[in-house]
Amino acid sequence: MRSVWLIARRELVATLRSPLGFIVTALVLAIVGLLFNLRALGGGEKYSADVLAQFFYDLSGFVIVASILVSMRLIAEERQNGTIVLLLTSPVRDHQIVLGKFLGALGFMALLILITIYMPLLVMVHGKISWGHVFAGYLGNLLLASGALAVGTFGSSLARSQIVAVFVSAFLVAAMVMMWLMGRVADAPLDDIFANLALHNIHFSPFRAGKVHLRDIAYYLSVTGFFLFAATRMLEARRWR
Amino acid sequence: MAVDTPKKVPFGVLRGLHVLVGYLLGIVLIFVGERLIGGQSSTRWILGGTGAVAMLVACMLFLIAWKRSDGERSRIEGLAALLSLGGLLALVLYLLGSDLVMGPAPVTRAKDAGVGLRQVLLVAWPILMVLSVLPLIFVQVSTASMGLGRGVEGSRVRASALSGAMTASLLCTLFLINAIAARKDVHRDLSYFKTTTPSDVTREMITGLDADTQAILFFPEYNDVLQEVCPYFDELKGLSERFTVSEVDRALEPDIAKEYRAARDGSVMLVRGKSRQKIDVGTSLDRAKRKLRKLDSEVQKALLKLTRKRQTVYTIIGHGERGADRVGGDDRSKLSELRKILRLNNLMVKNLGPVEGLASEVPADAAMLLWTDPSRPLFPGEASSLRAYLNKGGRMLITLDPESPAAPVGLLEFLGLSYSTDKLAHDHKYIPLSRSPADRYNLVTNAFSSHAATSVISRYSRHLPVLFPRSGSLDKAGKTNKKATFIVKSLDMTWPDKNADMTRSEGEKGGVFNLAAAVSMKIKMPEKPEDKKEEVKKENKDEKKDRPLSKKRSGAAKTAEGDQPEMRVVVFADTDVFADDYLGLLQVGPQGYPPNRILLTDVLKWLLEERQIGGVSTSEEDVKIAHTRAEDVTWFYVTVFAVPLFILGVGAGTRWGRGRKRRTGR
Repeated sequence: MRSVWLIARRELVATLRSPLGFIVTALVLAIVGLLFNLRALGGGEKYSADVLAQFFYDLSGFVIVASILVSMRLIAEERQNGTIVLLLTSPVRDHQIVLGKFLGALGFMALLILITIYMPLLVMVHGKISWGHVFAGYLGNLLLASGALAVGTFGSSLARSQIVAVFVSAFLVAAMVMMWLMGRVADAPLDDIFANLALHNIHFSPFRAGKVHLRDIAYYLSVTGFFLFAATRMLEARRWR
Repeated sequence: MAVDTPKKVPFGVLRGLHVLVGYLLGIVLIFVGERLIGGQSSTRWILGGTGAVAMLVACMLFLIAWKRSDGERSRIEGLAALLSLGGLLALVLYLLGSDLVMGPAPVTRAKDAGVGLRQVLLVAWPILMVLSVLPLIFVQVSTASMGLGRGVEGSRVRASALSGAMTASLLCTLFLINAIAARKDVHRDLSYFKTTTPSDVTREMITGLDADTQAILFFPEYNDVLQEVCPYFDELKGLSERFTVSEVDRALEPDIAKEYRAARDGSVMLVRGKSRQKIDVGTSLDRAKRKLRKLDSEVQKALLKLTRKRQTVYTIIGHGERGADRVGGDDRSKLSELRKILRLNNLMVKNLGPVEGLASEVPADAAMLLWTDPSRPLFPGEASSLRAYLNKGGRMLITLDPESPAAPVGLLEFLGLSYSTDKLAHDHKYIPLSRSPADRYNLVTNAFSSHAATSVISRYSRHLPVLFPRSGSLDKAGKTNKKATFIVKSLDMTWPDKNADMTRSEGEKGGVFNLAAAVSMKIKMPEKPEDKKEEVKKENKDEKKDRPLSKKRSGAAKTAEGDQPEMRVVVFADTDVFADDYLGLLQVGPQGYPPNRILLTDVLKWLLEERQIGGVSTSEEDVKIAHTRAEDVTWFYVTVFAVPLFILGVGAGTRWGRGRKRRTGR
């Protein structure tokens, strides 16, 4: 476990120190801030709970995009720079590498998400919202980030360059997000299967309304677990491909 | 690593992949036939049959390959054949559980369905299919990567099969976990919920009780809703010895429940003498949440009904007034909330127009007249009847509107006032409702006089800005014996938009304008004969007995001190200030106090000489977020520029600092 934390810490510090880290953070904050003013607060008076729900919804879109951008470099960068050999020959196991890198990226995403807390606080000053609702919204975004990052880590493990990684990850995430559309056009029982596999629609909506469902937590943890496992298998595939 | 170079290759590596593709194609055909087409159509049978044959042939080819090969390859081909047979077995299990063998599935609710053979087969076949097909794919891909004609490395192929099997196992486990989590879902609603606390108005009502009043809470002994209701009444019961609270479990004390006709659990009964008022809350917390958020207003409403004698307020009609309902073609905001507040205070609201005899006289039982946004002048005789009513010490609330063509000039002159229909606007201090230049008409003000008609709102003026949408202005006119005080004024730099272009032009001078006026006049009563005086005294005494919270009498009203009747009129230069769209729009503080409502209750209190007017209660219902243009700008700059620039600054600063450290070696 110590190796996992070492890799995670190194990854987090590297992301925070890189221009990518603070430029992505500033950009996401500016755009989310703009949407907060235009969509959440704009368009006439709204109930504070609706403003908060809209804010979490808008934030979730940027969480997905930022997760793909942050995860693209996790393994593909090592491959691109030729440092993957050093990493793979070091006394750490494949799953420790994947988990460490994922946790580092998740730590950065958690910071990025939590730094937006001043927006719900502004709503709280003028309206009536509970800390529970704020917690639920942030938990949902964190779980969504975790799922998208895991898919991105898998995409990064497939590709040899960061550019290819970002395209592969974006395709996979977009496909998973679009599942709800397929759920709408497909007939039973496929509609339910597609709808329940969708990364965002069914499973994220309750969080933005302040509701925490066990089934949604189980879903996001499953997506995270499966794609991290798949990424590990992809690293291990060098032994049998 | 041991590499086995076979003497015989059953069908080359590429052919092995072809067989796999055929096998997978068979699965897809069966899936399309069974799941997408279904029913009894021939397409289903053709696709299903073709798919099954494809799978069977592929299995046969895998078996033949196994039989023909030897050494390490034989073991690999044997593994592939075994896995392909696993897929075939999954298909057999699907057939056994399908309607072809077991008949149509009985229609039951998901939660009532037990675990039978059908359910076991339903779960078993996809698991077996995934556990067989995924490792098979991994084995074939791994074998293919070793190249055509080369030997196979058994350990690599087995590692890939293990990898596939583990991935398949994880996938199956996660599906099962998610299915169980969805079926046995536990959830928590963390969105805003809080039971109200007693408002100042309710507290004063309890403190001022002059007869024993009881609150009986009909709830089961251990109930979540009771736990929410109890603290509210616990706060009230210490305020007056006349107010008692008791909890009754209907099951344990059926006699009390019968006596008070409590047919259901989850209700609060307020009892005063023989009068009763019931508030239904419910026993399920989820359902009761809505009621609990506004419990204070429900209690207040019930208390007012118990304690106050009914009086009559007449609404003048017949001159294009704005009412509680919108009539055809009238797009003005309704005044139904205003009417609700009057009813809440046990005031009977009646219409008074030409048909009801306004031209001859105002009914003697009128506690107050209400005239809202008239758009046509009074009929002959009506003005003099109103003057006569006011000269006897009548009470009246008049709301005007700059968009209505006919202000009651004569009546205003009688009161010593004049009205300007130029709409007032402000360049900065307004509420943006439509995000257009017209928002400048939505004035906010907290400039109140210290008059009794604004007693509460002026005390908290810093925190209670009132919204005046599209307001005209009032001024004094001529000499009169009435005392007129402007109780609400606009903020400085307000300007009259004389040319209605929503922008400030030359000649539209900014300043402070009068938005509401309170006019009063002491009435000199002629000497009454002694016996008449006695009669009036007796009547007053009886009335006071009946109305503990009311100190006035109907008709010619008398002030509390000195018993000298007084005419009281309040005129507003805007009707929208009390209209439905705006009355509760602004809400301030954590309790969500609505300043426009507070202003209305203040004015009604003065006009009716009541100690308390209900209508302002604490509510834990969600509030709409309204902020001024200036606040909008602040929020925008903080969220869009300040914080992101701060992050960029910190990031760039840190990088520059580290770079400098590296360059200087320190």
